[in-house]
Amino acid sequence: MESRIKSLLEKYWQGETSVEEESLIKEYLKSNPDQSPEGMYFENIETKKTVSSQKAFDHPGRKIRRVWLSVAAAVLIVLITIPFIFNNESAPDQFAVEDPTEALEITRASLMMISDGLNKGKTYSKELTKFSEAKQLIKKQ
Amino acid sequence: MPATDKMYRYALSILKDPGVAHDVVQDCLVKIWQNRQKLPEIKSIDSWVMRITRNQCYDWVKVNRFSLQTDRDINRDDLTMLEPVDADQPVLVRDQKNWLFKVIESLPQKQKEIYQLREVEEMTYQEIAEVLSLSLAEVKVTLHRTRVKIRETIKKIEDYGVAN
Repeated sequence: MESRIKSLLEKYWQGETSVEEESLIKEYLKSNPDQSPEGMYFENIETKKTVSSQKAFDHPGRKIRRVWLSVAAAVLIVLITIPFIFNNESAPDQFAVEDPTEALEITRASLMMISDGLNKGKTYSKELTKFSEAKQLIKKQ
Repeated sequence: MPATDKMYRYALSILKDPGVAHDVVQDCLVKIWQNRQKLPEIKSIDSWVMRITRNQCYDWVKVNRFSLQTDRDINRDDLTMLEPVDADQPVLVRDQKNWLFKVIESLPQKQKEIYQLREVEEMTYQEIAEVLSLSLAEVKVTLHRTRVKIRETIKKIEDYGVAN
């Protein structure tokens, strides 16, 4: 038997064996394992044959993992932005005035400023009415 | 389904990533289902199914611009992922095994695929030729070259204990 396997192995390395002859070699080496590099080579083939898709199918696959990744990214973005939004609302106003009398002063000053502006505008409008009256007179003549 | 195991192993040997191989095989199953009316006309179901798997793998590679021949192939982490390491083994034996494995992994793509289809899946030359769209002679020559290369490594390991 062993000499037959030896000659088959020789044929194998020449690439002249059929599938049946190759499985004969593999069967023989499976029942008579040896630690030679040649034995290891055939053992390696046997381990490759046992790889099953079952393990991979139990595991969720890349597409589903990608979905989880995007969900995680979305949650992260929300978590990061929330503190910013709330911080802006509760941030103390730099120009807030606490003292009521001071606030009154400031309000008065700003109201004065506005009325000043309005009074200036009033003189202009007086001039304008004069001008338009003159225009009316010219038109009538 | 025993064919899914075959398809998965073939896809894994091309793509190296269990997650991706799993997705690709699932797409293949959908494709096979869509083409089920062709089944009675097909001579060799095995090579038809493997051909679909191969095409699907290369489509995936194209779409994702994934490189098959990268350092990743011979990366140690990937080796351990595919080949479970037995801690009880003597270091020398483990190294020799790793070396053999590395040699197979560093084969050119065509040789690697023929190795997978012939040695692991035990397909005939005719079937392999159909899967890879090659001539019968080309398959034979490539397989011969692959075996010569592997045998050289085995000889080196036998003579010197290590291959490099």
